[in-house]
Amino acid sequence: MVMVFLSVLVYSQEGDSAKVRLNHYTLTIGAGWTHYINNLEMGGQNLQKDYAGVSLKFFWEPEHRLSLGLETGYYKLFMAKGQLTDNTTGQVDRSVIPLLFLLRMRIIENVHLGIGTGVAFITNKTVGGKQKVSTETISLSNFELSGAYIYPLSKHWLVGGEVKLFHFGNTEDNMYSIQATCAVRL
Amino acid sequence: MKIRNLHVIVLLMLIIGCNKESLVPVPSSGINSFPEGTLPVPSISKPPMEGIYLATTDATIFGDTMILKWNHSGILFTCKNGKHFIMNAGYLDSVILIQGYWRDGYSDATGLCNMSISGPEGGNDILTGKPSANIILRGAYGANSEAPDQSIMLQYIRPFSQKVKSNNFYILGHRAGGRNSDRLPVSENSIAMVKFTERLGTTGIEVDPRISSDGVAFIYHDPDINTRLTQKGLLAGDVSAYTWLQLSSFVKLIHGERIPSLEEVLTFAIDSTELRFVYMDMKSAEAVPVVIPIQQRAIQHAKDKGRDIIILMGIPGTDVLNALMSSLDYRNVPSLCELTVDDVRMVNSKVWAPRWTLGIQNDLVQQMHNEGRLAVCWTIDSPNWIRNYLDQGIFDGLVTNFPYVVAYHHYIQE
Repeated sequence: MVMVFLSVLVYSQEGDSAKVRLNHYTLTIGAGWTHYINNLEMGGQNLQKDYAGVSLKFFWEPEHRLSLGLETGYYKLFMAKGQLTDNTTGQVDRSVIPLLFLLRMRIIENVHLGIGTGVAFITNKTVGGKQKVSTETISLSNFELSGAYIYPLSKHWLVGGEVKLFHFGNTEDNMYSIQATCAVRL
Repeated sequence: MKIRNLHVIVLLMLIIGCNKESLVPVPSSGINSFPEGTLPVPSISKPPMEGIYLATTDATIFGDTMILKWNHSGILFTCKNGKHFIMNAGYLDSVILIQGYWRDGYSDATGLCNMSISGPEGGNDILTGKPSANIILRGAYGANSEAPDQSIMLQYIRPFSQKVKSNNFYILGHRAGGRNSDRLPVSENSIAMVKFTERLGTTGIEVDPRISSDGVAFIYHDPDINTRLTQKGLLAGDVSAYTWLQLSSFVKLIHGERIPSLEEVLTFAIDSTELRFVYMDMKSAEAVPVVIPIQQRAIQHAKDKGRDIIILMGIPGTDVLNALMSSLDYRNVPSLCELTVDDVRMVNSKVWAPRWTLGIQNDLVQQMHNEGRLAVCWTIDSPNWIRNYLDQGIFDGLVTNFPYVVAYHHYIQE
């Protein structure tokens, strides 16, 4: 992942011939649909995989193609309910709060590609087997790939859409999300 | 090369490098495919077969010499370079048939193998329990699941030396006998591994006890539920936060086995194996008061069954040491201490178990022997270091992830 970042950094130092922008910051909120890619080897039946998710991003956008930022959000990955194994019923919910460092590059007018890495806080709530248990896991090896279309409404306001794919290394969970975004340029 | 191409290559390497390692598949046939009418090899025939063999054909990938050692389930042939054969044997008329597969402990290489000992080439003597100096095994080995097509011939050189026979040396398999990272066909810290590990040459095991939130002791190495040890499932996070029922119901180890309770493991080791040593490497101090009565029951069970097996509570750190010392009569809890020899004396451990990187330490080991204690060393995997420790050290056993390598260097000693 470090090499990928370095690669992006090399490209990003090329001057942006399409548009000369001033150094500025943006704050973006996003909300939309998330889908958990079910790769469970056990208990994957009766899985609710589609939920709403929200994200919050802060970007520094210098006079280059590259933008640097931080992203967080809240995503429910899945809920399993009912007959979880041959002889056990219950309910399991898993959710994640990522905290990622992002690199985003404008590819063509209004279209951006981004990658990110960082930590993720994964919560697993289990009801079944005669007890309710909640565990927190800090996942350190996570990444995000994203593509965004961002349309400037005015000097300060931007709207758009974003597709992103997450991988959370500790639990090997994968999900994608399609979100509508609204950004304010500070 | 253009720098952009280099970036693409690096990216591909990163993606490929993130793939999980697969297991080395056990070749699909060869085990238990003896002809109809094949009978189990009688007990009296096993000692005459054991010993050092010379590889006399072109089977150079296995080296010059092999050890043949019977175990609870079959035969282990082990070589100097980490290659080993996991075999079953039977006899038909006067011919001893040996079938199974070989594996390289340091790579993915594996294949089927079959051999036999004809009556005139040792079979007649072996089946009547007589030692024979003229045993010859002839057969073939192959690659993966393909039919064996490379000839192999082994000639008996000598039995195990008196030093080996009289030395009660322990070959202790790590994590109930083998690690997942060595891509064995069963999961580490499982009942299946306890059953399998003797086939790798172990005579004892190290296991990793923890306790569930409702106080059941089980064996599992890591503090969390992860895909290194388990099939990806519904649970995540701290493994000890869950109840035993939840762990039993919702978690399967990487090859599909259940997480075993400590009591199940000890009972299985006593009842269904010939293992002589169980080293419980305590993973939490909280588990100590739970494990002590389980240990006592297991020791009594072994005594009732007439089993010669040592079952010890491992003391890997001061937290476990303090937890043990807070229990009444702690000096009578059979233990293995990884700390200093003074700590060993303080809690009256039966075994001192220093880390191998501390060196051979013959003077301290001799002190332990003089006090009637044993000394084993953990966890030693390099073939050169294993040989070095066996040649120059006076330890009573080694904990290893490569028991067949320890077995080779132990049994070949003169």
